Amino acid sequence: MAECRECKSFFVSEDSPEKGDCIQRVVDPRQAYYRSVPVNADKSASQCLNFIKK
Amino acid sequence: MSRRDELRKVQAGRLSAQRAPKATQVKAEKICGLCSNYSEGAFSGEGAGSCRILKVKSDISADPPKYDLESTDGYQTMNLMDAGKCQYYEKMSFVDKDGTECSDPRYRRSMRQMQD
Amino acid sequence: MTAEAARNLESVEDLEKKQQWWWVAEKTRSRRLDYLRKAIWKKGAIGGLYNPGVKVDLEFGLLAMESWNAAQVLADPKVIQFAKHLAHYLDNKTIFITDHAQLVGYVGSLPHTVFWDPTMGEMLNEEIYNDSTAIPEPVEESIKTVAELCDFWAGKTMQSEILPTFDIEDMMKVMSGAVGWGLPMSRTGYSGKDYEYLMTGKRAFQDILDELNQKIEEADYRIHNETPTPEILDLYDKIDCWEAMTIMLEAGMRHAKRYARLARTLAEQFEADSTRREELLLVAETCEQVPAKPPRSLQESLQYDLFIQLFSRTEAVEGAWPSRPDYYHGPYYQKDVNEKKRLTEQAAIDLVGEFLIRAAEVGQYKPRWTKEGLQGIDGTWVWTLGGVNKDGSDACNDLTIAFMKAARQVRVANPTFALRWHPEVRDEVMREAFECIRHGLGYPSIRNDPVLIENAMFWHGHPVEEARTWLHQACMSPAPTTKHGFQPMRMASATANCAKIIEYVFTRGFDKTVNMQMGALTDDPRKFMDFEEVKTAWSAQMESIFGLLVRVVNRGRATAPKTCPRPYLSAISERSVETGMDVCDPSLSRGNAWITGFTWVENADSLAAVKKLVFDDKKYTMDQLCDALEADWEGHEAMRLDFVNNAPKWGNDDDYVDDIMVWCLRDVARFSKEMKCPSGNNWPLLPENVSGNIHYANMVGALPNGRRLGDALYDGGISPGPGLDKKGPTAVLKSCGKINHVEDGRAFLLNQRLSPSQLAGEKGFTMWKAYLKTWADLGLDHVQFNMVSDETLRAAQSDPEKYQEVIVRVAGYSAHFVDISRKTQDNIIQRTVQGIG
Repeated sequence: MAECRECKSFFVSEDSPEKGDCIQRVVDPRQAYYRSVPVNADKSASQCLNFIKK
Repeated sequence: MSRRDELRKVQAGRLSAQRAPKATQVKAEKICGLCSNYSEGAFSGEGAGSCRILKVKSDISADPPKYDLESTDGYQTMNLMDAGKCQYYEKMSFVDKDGTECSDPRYRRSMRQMQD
Repeated sequence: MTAEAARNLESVEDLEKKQQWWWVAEKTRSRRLDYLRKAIWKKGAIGGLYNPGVKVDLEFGLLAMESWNAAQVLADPKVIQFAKHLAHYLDNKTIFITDHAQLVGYVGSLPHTVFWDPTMGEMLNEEIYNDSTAIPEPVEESIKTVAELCDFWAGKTMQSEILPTFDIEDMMKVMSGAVGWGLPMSRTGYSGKDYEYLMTGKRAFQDILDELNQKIEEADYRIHNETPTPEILDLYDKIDCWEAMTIMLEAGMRHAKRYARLARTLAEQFEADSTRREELLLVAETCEQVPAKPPRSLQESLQYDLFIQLFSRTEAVEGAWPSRPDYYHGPYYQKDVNEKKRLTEQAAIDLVGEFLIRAAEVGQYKPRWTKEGLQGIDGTWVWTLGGVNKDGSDACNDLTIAFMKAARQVRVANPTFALRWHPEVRDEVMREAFECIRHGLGYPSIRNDPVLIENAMFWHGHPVEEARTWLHQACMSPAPTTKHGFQPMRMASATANCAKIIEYVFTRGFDKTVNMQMGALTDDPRKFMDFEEVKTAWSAQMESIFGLLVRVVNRGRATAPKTCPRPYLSAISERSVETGMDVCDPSLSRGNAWITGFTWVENADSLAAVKKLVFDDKKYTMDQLCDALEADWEGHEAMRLDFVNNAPKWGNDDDYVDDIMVWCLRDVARFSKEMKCPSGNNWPLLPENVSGNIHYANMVGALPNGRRLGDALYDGGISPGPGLDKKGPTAVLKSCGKINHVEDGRAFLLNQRLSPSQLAGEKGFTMWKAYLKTWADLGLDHVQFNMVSDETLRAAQSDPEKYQEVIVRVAGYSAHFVDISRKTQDNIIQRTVQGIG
């Protein structure tokens, strides 16, 4: 089963290899931005539509 | 019942309506929010108001309903209160169809449950 | 050719000639500002609904649910539990960096969301559950989440915590919303900040954290090493309070580091453009510096301020943004632009413009009554410019000018500015203010600094050096920025719907809208034999309404430290860091309370009409008048028109009605000195309105000035009724000049509409200055201007798409014309356009 750590959007934390940020590019009707959400490296990514294997 | 006790009862009713589990909130066919005797307070975004006819000791959810027409303060009720048994219910027609306006009826038009 | 293509061909000069300032701004601002300005999701509501696309943010509620469950296991003291909720949110919320941005941070998770904290109150939660447009996609699923959050927090909210602490009768009256605004809790309202502690470059979060840890250590030592006596009992609560403050400061610093990390990752892993890469690295460096350490540059100073504000808005729903940005950021502008020349003037204006944009995009879900009362904006961000230094010398600097230049480029309706005018303000600064007004921004409003400093000393006993630090606590009221002078929380509940005073004279205190005995049971008006009896009843109703609101807010203030602690605001306030007491504890404050008086002028006009037509001319009896008012004037139209047209009206330099206005204010001032806040200070009145005149239109019954239920009320403060000031601008100023602006109340809002064509060019500036000289000579404390023609406003009503950027001054704040309800638009057009000169 895919985990967040295997995804291109996962950027590991310098403090812990088990944590990181999921960084995604978003374009909404008014602006474009990068968003970041903290995630655990072992979080299941099987339901994630944005998962791209590294 | 003293005035303070009456008010406590009103407040308790209002708070319990706010705390009622959402799953049990079913919109009845006749509700206070559709009655021409219903008056919204300024905080009525949450759906509270009062009756212009019934007074504070009324209870339209009782069976049979209790009607107090004598006390000073009005019966405190909610937009979505089931008014099916209330003999004073008078269906009103909405004048303002646009929730971005601030016209009468003030808040009801912007409520999800009151959309046509 | 499309309209846009045609506009692109027009020169800036042509657009200036046509006074289409919004297109001028678009053509002259930088590419970055243009992008960021258009990127804003407007969070103000139109009437009672948010703009399409703006959605409620569910993230805080879900994260708070997680941390609540953890806190139950740890059985933390309440203040620590609350701090942990906030810290958990800051550590885990979604953050984002918009393209081209140099400043970062947002109160919600995504740009189009309005922040919702379901721990605030069931009333708000119910409203969100009922909301018809702001539930995020997919709607069905989100409704279930909202329902889950409502159910989870039911009975656990701040509202549930505070309601039982109030007198039942008072609270029922306040909750009816007929005479006051909102619940008196210290997490909704207007939070002042101790800027003298925080923003003078002497310390930042890490310095305060070190001090707090030392305090905790010392207190802990005393508890465990001193002989047990009652003297150490307070220390337990103090340690909790200090610990909660440390949790907040640490969370704030970690949160900034998350932005630093994101910016650095984007620079290193995503960004191909070298210029943007450098910018992102500078963002990273900035967020590594502030808020942990004091700022070193203008960018760091603005970012520091932004973080301070955003954390505060995570802790509380703040309806205002008290700020004096030119004063506190000015030294960094001076260093970067004038001394070290690290920034060009335009680069600095870009940063300042972006700072305005970051403030403009803030959105917290507001209940419908607030959405209606503050149409088109999220809250009243009235930023204070100019004024004097503590020694009385002119405080205007180059950043004062840069802020006004940036405002004309970004043209946001919120924040707006208020300029502290005094005789030493340079012509260059006044010219910039005039240009902003002439460009139709509706701001800055002009405040009379010497009068307001004297007023602050008169009403609240602020020492002169403290009074001189004043800024706008909300729309209008001055409050200092010092340790004991600043006000951490102004609860908006003491906002009186003053037209109810005169209404209740005729209903003997019974409110027919909320069906409740609200006011005093005064004598039967049908039996009044002379005008003195009307005045006596008026005075009793005034005391009844103001007394109610003050009692409730006093109680809220007194219980706030226990029921609604503010660990973050405490952590950035010297008084709390020093004492270990919650910042809202009244014993730490000098006290700076006021009653905001919505819908005030109706009282003077109504009383004058009764005096003239009933008691002086004896044209009607009180019986007839009572009948007409009870019938909402229906069937009495000829009589109503008599009361509109043939009774003197405020704003025409007519002593008949002006004397009544002054009598009303002085009667209130008497009572204001009898009422005391929990800090022991006075409760003066401050007449002003925001868009409460529209919000309350359906709450206020028929009045003797000829108004019917549902008609818009006057636009407020001491502004004459729209179209009723028929004798010109000097007559308006002379009427207002009969009020003593130091002793008769806290401040007095005056709206004026001026003709944009008349005030064009150099001649226009000279005429405007002459008008202001008369205003200052008469001792008025406030004036604000709309300078947009009827023609433009009517065109905007019929073709809103084309006029998206037209801004108007509503009352105490500005809004984009298209973002306010039709009724409010009409009310603004009805205001008399004054020709001056």
